[in-house]
Amino acid sequence: MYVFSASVKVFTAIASVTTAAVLPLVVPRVLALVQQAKATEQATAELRASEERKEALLREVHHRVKNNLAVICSLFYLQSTHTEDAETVQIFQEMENRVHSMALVHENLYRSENLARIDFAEYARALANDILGSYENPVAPVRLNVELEPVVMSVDQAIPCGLILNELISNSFKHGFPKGDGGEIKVTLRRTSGGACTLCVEDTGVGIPSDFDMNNTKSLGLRLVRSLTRQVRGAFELGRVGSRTSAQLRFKVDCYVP
Amino acid sequence: MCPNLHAYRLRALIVEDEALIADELSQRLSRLGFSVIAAVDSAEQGIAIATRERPDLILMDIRLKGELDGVQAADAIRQHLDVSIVYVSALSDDCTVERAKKTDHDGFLLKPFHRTDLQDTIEIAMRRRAARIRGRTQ
Repeated sequence: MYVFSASVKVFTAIASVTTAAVLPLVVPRVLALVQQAKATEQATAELRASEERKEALLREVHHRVKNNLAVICSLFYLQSTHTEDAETVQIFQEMENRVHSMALVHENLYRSENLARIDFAEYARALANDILGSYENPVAPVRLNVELEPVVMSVDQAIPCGLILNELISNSFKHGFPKGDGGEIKVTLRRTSGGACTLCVEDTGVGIPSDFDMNNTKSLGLRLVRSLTRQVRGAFELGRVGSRTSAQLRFKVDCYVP
Repeated sequence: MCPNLHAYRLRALIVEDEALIADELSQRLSRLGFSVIAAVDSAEQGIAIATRERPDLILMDIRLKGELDGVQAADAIRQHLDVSIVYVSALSDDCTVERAKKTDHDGFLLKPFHRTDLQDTIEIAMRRRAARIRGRTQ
């Protein structure tokens, strides 16, 4: 019993001496680590706050862009009310549609989690429905058939591609069904190899004339398509596939997600 | 269209701080047969004129000049008036949409709006209001 008690005393004495010797070395290190952790936590919080501020600012920019585009649409409308000429009114309405196709990109970005990229399939579906709404003929409806694979792209690419799609669908409505006949417009978006994709608009309308020359057309819509195709470094083809008129844009996506 | 639902010419108020958009809305409403009683750019003015003039329809922007926004104005107006309120706004974030949803309103149009969407939304809004009035009188 005495031996045991003595051992405990010796052990306690050694422990006290060791602690006294080690503590001055360990405590500052632990304190430094705690301080470092606090600093890291504060830096992370500041970074998060800065990210949130940036995101809020970017959303505000998209909001203001949409508002300004709405003012431009109002200008077109107000100008169109100063003429009785149906053709001139139609020109202003087409300009409005083009601005709408751009505004829709900002609307999708504004609502998406990623403020720099856009799900083009979702955008194209909304755009196609918008255009259908502005050309809708309840007597002989043109059916819209949309088959779109998911493709994510940057705003720089989405704007010109959206404008191209707007022209192609509008052309199908205007020139494919000039007498107000019913039919079908099919919009497809397919991913192909190497990060490329194909956007295609086909219609069952009257078809393009056999002597039609894409490079010498006076149509503003197709001239816009030609220029914008150059901008996205794509290739455009317009022709007939069986009984359908087919317009096809092939281009490489700048931020492709398989 | 809509005015045929009623024996008298329907009256509309526009609360919008972009003057050109207000002009467009005013002209489009006139073409649809409405009598536009005023176009104002703040929620406070909107509440005052709506209370005094008791319009049938209010096209309400959300971000406005002044202290209050369009959602607060719509809420204040609908507390004591049965008027169709259609929001016309470029704001479409979840927070704003949720706030707007909680108020009594008959439509939400995103700017820039399509001409056909404006007409359809107003027509539905006026039909909803007519149904409410019929429901009360039966």
